[in-house]
Order: sequence, then structure tokens, then C-alpha cells
Amino acid sequence: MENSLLVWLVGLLVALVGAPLLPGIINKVKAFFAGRRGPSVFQLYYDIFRLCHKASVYSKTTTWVFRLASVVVCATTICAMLLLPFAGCASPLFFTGDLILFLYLMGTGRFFTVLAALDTGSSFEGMGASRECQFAVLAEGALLAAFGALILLTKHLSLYGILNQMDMRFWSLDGTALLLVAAGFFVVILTECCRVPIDDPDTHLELTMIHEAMILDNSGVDLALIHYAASLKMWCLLLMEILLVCPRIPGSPWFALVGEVLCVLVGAVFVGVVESVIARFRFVKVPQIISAAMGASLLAIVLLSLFQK
Amino acid sequence: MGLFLSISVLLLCFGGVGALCVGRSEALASRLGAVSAVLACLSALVDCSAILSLPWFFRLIICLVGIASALHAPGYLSGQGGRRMGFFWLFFNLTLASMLLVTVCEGFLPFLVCWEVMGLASYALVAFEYHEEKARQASWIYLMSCEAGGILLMLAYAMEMSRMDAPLTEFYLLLAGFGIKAGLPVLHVWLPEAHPEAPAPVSALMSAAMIPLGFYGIIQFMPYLPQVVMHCGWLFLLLGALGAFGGILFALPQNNLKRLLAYSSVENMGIAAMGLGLGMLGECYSMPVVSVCGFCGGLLHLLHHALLKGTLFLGAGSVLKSTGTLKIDSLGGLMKVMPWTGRCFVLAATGICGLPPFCGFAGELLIYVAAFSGIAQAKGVFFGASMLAVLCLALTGGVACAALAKAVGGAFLGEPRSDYARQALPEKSSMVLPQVLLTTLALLLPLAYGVLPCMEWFETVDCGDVIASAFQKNSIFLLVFYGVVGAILLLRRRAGKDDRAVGTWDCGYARPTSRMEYTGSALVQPLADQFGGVLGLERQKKSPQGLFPTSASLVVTDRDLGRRVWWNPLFRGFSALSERIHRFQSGYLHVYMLIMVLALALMLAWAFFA
Repeated sequence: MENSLLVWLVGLLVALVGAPLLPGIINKVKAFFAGRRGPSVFQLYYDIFRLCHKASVYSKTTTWVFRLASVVVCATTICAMLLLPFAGCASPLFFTGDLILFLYLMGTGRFFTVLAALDTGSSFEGMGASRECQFAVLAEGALLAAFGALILLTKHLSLYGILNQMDMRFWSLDGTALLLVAAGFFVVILTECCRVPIDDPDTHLELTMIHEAMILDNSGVDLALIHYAASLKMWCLLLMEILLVCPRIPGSPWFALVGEVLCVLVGAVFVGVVESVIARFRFVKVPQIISAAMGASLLAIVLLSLFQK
Repeated sequence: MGLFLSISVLLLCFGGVGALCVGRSEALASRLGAVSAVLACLSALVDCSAILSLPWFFRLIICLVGIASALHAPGYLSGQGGRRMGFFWLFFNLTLASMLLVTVCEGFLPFLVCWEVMGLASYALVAFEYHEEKARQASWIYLMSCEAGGILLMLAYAMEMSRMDAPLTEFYLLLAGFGIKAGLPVLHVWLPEAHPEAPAPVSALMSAAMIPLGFYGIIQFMPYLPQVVMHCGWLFLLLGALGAFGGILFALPQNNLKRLLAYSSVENMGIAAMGLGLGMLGECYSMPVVSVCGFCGGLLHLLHHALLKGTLFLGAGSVLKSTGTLKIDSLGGLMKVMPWTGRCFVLAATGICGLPPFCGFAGELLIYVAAFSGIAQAKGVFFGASMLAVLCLALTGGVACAALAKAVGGAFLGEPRSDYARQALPEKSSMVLPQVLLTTLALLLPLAYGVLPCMEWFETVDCGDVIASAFQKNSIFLLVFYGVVGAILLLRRRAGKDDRAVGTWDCGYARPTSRMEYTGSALVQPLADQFGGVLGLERQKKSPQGLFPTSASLVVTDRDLGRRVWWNPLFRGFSALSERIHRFQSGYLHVYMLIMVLALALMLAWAFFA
């Protein structure tokens, strides 16, 4: 028992430390496709380090909501991570229905980001907040539809139960449904992490951003916290996708942990490839693609309820 | 009825009449009314005669909200004059007393009497600003709804008494009668009309404590036969899903802060109805986890909604008092003028979206668990129903965040958008206190739930272990969350802060004005447009014209779905029918006599042949 808790703690630590690698990897892959050398993989670490040594500038318009928001975003993401299983070892905090806590913690972070954006009184940030609100509704629906399908498949109601059950047996019996769920979940990852083709974090035009537009006024430590939280969120969601797609390997949990971390890094490479080969969609297309993700999960549910053995 | 309850009802009566009698002095009248109401609520709170029973639970809601409203009212109503103040407190205390009595009555007839008194007394409160046309109209709609509900309930009572063996018909009558009060969809029309016009403490009391009594009525008086429970479960689930999603969708485009909150009440009642519906269906399909989690979730959601919505309505009242308007797009930047109201409003708004770490989450969590268990275990239609519940809750949660972000952002954040907001008066401490009280409770309650499973009576609860683990882990988790927040705050303190007074960066634009800000309406516009057909959005646009345009305007109005597709056509049909019948009313005596003779002849013929 003690061993599994230790593995879980190490897994958490690796995630907390390693998360800023993911945007670096994605940018490296994109640079490779564009034929550039690109920034170092560790660029986000440098950025966070630099931002932490800078003072924050606050606008006269803003209130405590703006100052608290970055802290809330970071804290909710870290806490959401505490619910995930690492390397097949359950979180000590897991309980029936914890996946709702996971989703709603992300929701709290988003709510405060939106409020902070409105707090600055800037029209660009309001625009970003408006888009975030619109897409979040659909993304949340898609995510819960995916969870609904997984609950139907595994008959478990906790993150540990759902994510740790996926093995070859499920893939061989209900492969089509699982594939649909995994595809829908991937679209949700792209939406939640503000990646191309939903949102472009690297664009130079504020009018076309979503998430980056909301944090235009953040600076110093606050900005560092937000960037860090975004990378943590990506680690969480990629890890869930990996647990969904990759079958369990029997053996030592330490071995599984290494495999899992490698898989997450490969997942980041995959996101980078996706970003390199497709352009960003127009805003009117975005609700359609997220609805399609929800539709895929709903289709999986129909398939499962009809054909599950 | 226990001793403390009797004391509390007597106190309310004396306080109300006393306030009316000392009509010369405003301060005295309001003090007498408020003190008697608060004392009465406290006295009803300590009444332990039926602790942990359903009536006790609803009394708890009434007392908590009653105390807050009574504390808020003197500040809100100041400047009205002693006479009107006396009338207000008379009817306020009467409403409160009849609400308490509703939860005490065991027979249906005394219950009906108290129910009617409650409706009429609260009608007087809604009509408090009767010199305004809108308030008169709103209170008229409210009175009509109350009476329609009352008539349906009396019919149900008549059926019960005449021993007609038709439990389903009786149940439908009860559902319609209580559903009007509970704001179930289609029957909800009075909520968005009455809440904005009523004084804020009254809206808070009605929205937070009176609407849930509709559910109390159904649960307490519906005939418990398997067939009826099945019908009730399905109707609750479907109507709840419709109410939750529809309610919050209609909250989106509202520009009146209290109207937005009223629609959000429809949403929350829908969520509670979904929980109760899942509970009943779980009972029918013998799935104990679904049943227990559904019931607990639904009831707890009512309590959480009371605390949070009470805060929000009182906050909206403070906003109206200090700025003179409730139009979200004319407000803005109030956080600096009314910091405490703003703090409570932001926190309560987060909570009402069901987000952790507030209490609203615990109720929704249980409803989700119920629906998930349904997905995992059930087959056939019930599986579909559970899936519907989950999807509906998810979409509702997302839209609720947008709607409440609009309310908070539009009213309290950013720069003031009009002179109303620029010249806002500072908040009064007496009006802040009740909001802080309710918000604190809302923050502490989820932590307290962790202690709940340690109590002895909890072992008697069926499937207690599921709820116990959810509650305990949730509260431990919240402590961890607060710990993480504290740690990050401490870490951040070590980093510097630039003390220059700067404007918002705004991508380098040098002279931003508040006219360039995103308004609340702009925030939700893409989302509202997505559902434009449902919302019945109509735009009246005046585009800027010419080389030097002077003015432009855009007015977007929505039309309530229940009124549009059901009530308006229905009443139009009635009026067309009366128009037809009106032809017989010619005013000539001989025509009337001819009609009578014809009718007599027809009846004779019918009797002869039949």
C-alpha cells in the first residue's frame, strides 16, 4: 500500500515539475515543421523564472478579483491534478463522483479568468471572455458526454475507476465506441488547452485570440502562475487521454510511471503535429467542431447501450 | 406545534401589528418589525421538536433567509415614511408566519388556509411599489398565478374528500398547483415579472424560501402509490431538465439584474426537481444509490440555493438602493464603491454556478452521482433519462457561468458605464451584514458536511457510505484547496508589486473610455445568438448614418418561451372564444328568452330520447 502512495506522489511531482515541458515540445515540433530552429524546449521554465522576478503591474481599474484570479486558476489546476491516478495508483483523495469535482474545479478557474478579464474593463479581454464562455458550454457538454460513455463502459464512478480499467479487453470488445470517445476527448483537449485549430496562443492579433486575449493585462508572477496552470492543465488532460488510449502494462508501477510520462510527452508531440498540419478554424466553425466532439461521444453511448456485451 | 414555534408565530403577529400601530415613526416601526422577525426566526430555529424531518428542513431554509431579509429590509426601505413601513412589516411578518405555519400543518385543509394567506400576504409585498405601473402589472400576474394554483389545490382537496378514486388526476392537480409556486417550466411566468418589481428583501425571501415550499407541498401531500410515484419521477425529471436549461438560457439576455436572478431561480428549481425526480425513479426501479443521492442532492440544492440566491437578491437590492438602477449595462465598477456587497456577490455568484469550493457544489455532486449510477446500472428508458440529466446539468452549468459572469462583470467590475454607477452611494453596513452572514454560511457549509457522517443518525441513512465518502473527501479536499491557495498567495507576496497607478494596457490604446468596455450584453451575445430561436430574440437596430453619424442604437429583446408558445395563444384563444359567445349577448330581452326556451326544449328532447 505504502508503495503505491509513494508512486502516486512521485507521479504527481513529475507532473508538477515536468508540465512546462509540454508547450516547449509543441513549439519545437511546430518549429521543425516550419523549418526553423525554434525556442528551446525549456523556454517556459525560463519564462516562468523571469516573470517570477518581475513586479506585477496592476491597472487602476482592477480590483481584488483580478489579483485573486491567477491564484485561483493555479490552485484549482493543481488541486484537480491531485484527483488523478498516476501509474495505476489511486489518489488518496479519490471518491465516487470525483470526476465532477475535477471538471468543476476547472470551471472555477475559468469563471475567475473570465471575471478577471471583465475586471480590466478592456474590450479585447471582454471579447476573449465572451468567446471563452461560449465555447466552454459546449466543451463541458462534450467532456461529460465522454465521461458518460466511459462510465457506461466501466461501471465505475470515479476517475481512478474509469481511467484504470482501460485495457486490451475493452478495446477488443468495444473498440469503435472507445475510438469515438478518444477522438471527442482529443478535441476537448485542444479546446481546453487553447490550441490550434480552436485557438492560437501564438497569434499576433489580439482580435483573434481567446485565452491569450483574456490575460493581456496580467504581468509578473500572475502571468507566470497562469502560464504554469495552463501547462499543468495540458498535462492533466493529456494524461487522461493517454490512460484512455494506451493499454495497461503489467509489471512494476515504477516502470508504468516512466512509460506514462513518456506517453504524455509523445502526446505533446502529437498535438504539435496536429497544430502544424492544420490551420485555425474560423470562429463560426469552432462551435461546430466541439458539437461534433459531443456528437461522437453520444454516438459511442448509443453504440455501447446497443451492443455492449 | 412546539413551544418555540408558537412563540415565533406570536412574535411575528405582534411585531407586524405593532409596526403598523407605531406608524408615526419610521425608525421605530422598522426596528419593531425587524427585531420581531429576527427573534421569531431564531426561536423557530431552536425548535428541535422534529429535527431532521422534512418540515424542519424547510423551516431551516425559511428561518435563515428570513433573518437575512429582515436585517436587510430597514436599510433598503429607509425613507419610505412610517405608515408604509408599518404596512410593509405587517405583511412581511404575516408572510413569514404563514410560511412557518405551512411547514407545521399536518392536515391538507389547514395547510391550504396558510398557503392562501401566504400567497395573499406576499402579493401585498410584491405590490409594495404600487404607484408604479410595472409593479401593479407584475403583482397582478403574481396574484393570478397564486390564485390559479390555489384553485387547483382546492380541486385536489375536493377530489380527496369526495373519495373519487383517481390518484393520478389528483396528483396532476397537485403538481400543477404547487408547480406554479415552485416555478416549474411553463408555470414559471410569474417569477421573472414579480421578482424585479418586489422590494429586494421580499424577492430574496420569495425566491430563496417560498418557491421551495412548492416542492414541500408536492412531497408532503402527493398520494404515494407506485404508479403515481413513477409519474411524478418522470415529470420531475423532464420538467426539471427543461426548467434548468431553459431557465438559465433565458437568464442570459436579461439586462435587469433581478430578472436575470429570477430566471436563475427557475434554473435552480429545475436542478432540484431533477434530483428529486431521479430519487423517485430510483425508488421505482429499486436502485437505492440513485434514490438516496437524488433525494439528498435535490433537497440540499434547495438549501444551497436559498443561501446563495438570498445573498444575490439582497446584493441586487443594495445596488438598486445606491445607484437607482438595475440595468446591468448601465452599472459597472461598483466593487470600489460597495466593496463588501461586491465581495459577497462575486462569491455567491460563483457558488450558484455550482462551482467548488462553495456549497452549491455538494448538491449538484450528489445529483450527478445519482445520474451516473443510473448510467452505470440502468437499462432502457431510465438509462436514457440519466444520460439526459447528466448532459442537461453539464450544459446548464456552462450557461450559468456565462450568465452569472455577465451579472457580476456588468455590475461590479470594470469602469462605471453611466452616471448611475458613477454617482453610486456607498453601501450601508446594516445591508451588508445579512449578505456576509449568508455568504459565510455558504462557505462553511461544505466543510461542515465532512463532519456529518460522524454523527450517529447518519448510520440510519440508506447507502450512507456513498454520501459519507463524497462529503468527507470533498471537505478534506476543500481544506487542501484552501491550503494550496494560501501557499500560492504567500509565495506571491514575496514577489514584488509595481505601485505605479496605470491604466489598463488595452493593447497600447492610450485613451480608453468606459464606452469601449465590453458590456454584459456583449459578453453573452454569441451564446445568446446560438439559441436565438429559442429565446425569441428581436433586434431593433439604428445604424449610424451619414459622414458624421450622431446616434446609433441597438435594442435586443427576448420573449419568454412559456408565454410565447403556451400562455399567450391560450389566452388569445379564450378571448376569441368569448368574442364568439359575445354575439349572443345582443341586449334584446326577447332574444334571451328565445335562447332560454330553445335550451329548455333541447334539454327536454335530450331527456326524452336518452
